[in-house]
Amino acid sequence: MPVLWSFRYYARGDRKIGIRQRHDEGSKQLQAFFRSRLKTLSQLAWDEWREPYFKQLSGTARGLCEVRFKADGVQQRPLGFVSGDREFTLVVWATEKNDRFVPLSAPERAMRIKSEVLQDRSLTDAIWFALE
Amino acid sequence: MQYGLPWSEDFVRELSDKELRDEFVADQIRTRVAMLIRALREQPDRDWSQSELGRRMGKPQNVISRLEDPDYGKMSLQTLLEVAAAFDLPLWIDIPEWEEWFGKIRNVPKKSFARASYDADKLAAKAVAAKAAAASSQIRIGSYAVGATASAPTSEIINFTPKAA
Repeated sequence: MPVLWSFRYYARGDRKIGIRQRHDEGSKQLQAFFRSRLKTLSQLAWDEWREPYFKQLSGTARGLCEVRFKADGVQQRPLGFVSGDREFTLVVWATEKNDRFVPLSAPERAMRIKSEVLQDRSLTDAIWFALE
Repeated sequence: MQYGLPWSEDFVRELSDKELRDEFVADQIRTRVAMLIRALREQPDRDWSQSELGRRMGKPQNVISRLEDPDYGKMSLQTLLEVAAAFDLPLWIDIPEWEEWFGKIRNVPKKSFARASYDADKLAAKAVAAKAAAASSQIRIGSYAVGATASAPTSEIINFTPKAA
């Protein structure tokens, strides 16, 4: 199946939670796994985006989703949302430890950024690597 | 799709780093195996729970849950053989060239992925049909065979492939 989905990311993230920053500062394993998971997701219909490699959050974080993978011995949880027709925008790079987000405020910050992005798409860029 | 190829120039250049490439391959195969097991288990004519697949493999449900997790990286060849056997399917492992591999990773196992378990009657019927088709596409032309002379009849069979209109 060719690529169905495109990915964008919030381009103004900081060193702690920025998608690009966390990727670039991560190991080769983290970078490779991140690419690999986005490639896989990009080839799937929405109803196949599910656990254990993807999860829709609930409660106060409803509307947010996490890409789930383990790299460098840490559960990586880049957070994002469906921002358009077969388009997914990543906004905050969180990790998970003991069933809690690190940083704890990640979902809240992701919700805030989501609101900003929905009003101003220019805050995002297309993902910087090719999916095929 | 890039001009008929399953890869773009950017994609392959970004994988130039050997370490990145090795990790990318590792995650693709782990993800693929995990998704394949689930797709086969959930195939409509099976619709097995993880417990049911576990029962057929003689393993507890939590083992199946791990096998369907791309982050679980310790699956052995023996386990893969057991999984395949539980579905009554064969196992095939290859180390292809990159061009072939790029094509293969475009085919993600998903809901529509359906593979039939061993069915001797069905497979045998296909063999019979193939044999009949082959026989009908061959023309026994006896003494009119290519290169034969009237004085030297031949029973040579030549393959006849009808030309497209």
